[in-house]
Amino acid sequence: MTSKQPLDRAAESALVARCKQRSAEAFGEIVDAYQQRLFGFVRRMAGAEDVDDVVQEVFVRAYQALDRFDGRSSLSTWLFRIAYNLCIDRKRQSDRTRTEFRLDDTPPGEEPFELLDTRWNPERIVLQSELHEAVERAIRTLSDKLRAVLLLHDREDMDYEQIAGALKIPVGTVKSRLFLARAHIQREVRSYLSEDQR
Amino acid sequence: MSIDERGNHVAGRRDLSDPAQERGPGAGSEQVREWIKSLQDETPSLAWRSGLNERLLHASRRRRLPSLGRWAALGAAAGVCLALLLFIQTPQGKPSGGVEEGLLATHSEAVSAMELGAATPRQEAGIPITDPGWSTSDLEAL
Repeated sequence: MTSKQPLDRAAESALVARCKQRSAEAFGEIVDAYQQRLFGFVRRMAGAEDVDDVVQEVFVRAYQALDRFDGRSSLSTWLFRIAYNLCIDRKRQSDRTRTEFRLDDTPPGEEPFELLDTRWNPERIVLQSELHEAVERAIRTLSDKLRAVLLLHDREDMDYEQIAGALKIPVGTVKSRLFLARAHIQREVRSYLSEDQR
Repeated sequence: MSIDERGNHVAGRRDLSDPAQERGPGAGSEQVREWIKSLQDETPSLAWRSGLNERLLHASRRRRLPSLGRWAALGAAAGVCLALLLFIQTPQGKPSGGVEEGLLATHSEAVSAMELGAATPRQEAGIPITDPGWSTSDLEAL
């Protein structure tokens, strides 16, 4: 099963119109286009154990509410809003303890980190994998609100207005959360990498 | 300094001793963006998709049921209205007009009078009984 390219606005509208006429095939195309992105988002927001169920629930809710989708936001914004709300609901249900991170945990004297060009190097895959794991770990230590903004902006390429619409927060809040989230990721990953280089 | 869930600094606004914040969102942000972009996402399994299809089928049945129920209720209501309308318009065995009532009353009085051998209302009113032009023998000849 492959994930298709993101749909443009016209293709989205056409698909939604077909879905409203009860075309199961059209809804299948929406699932194909967004399932992988939603999987990544939900896995990072809600945790790996809930991902299958939550993403299915996102699509079921979208299917049930598609008649009420008015097209003012893009389909992706709408789907990610459903996903975000479901993730937050799950979090509340599971009543997990809130994770805070500390900005003063950063090791002093950091230098901008540059990855070695490890192409064609047998160690490349290992290094990349370690970097990915460090980034994933850093993302997990963010609060839900910072994490959502970071993923929607840097992973899903949504602009500030789209994120503000999806999360129902002001654009200014989106910007400040993004700044804080990036600062945290930068620190966490550099911290990990500098430990590794010692 | 810590940041709470709302993204607010708990002890202060910005830590300017941090070079990343002094540089602003430019260089560091791009690097973070690249890291985030480079992350891998797993592809959902066929089993997951099959499970989703089942849930969608179930949801679509549930969505169809209320609409069927609505149509059934609408049909029943229309039936009741039609029945009421027919009930109201059906004659109850009583003549509705004054002419029919008069004819029936005259007929029943005449029958009663003939049975009792009394005068008919026409006779009482002094209207002479005219010869109809035939007698009972004519009836027997038939």
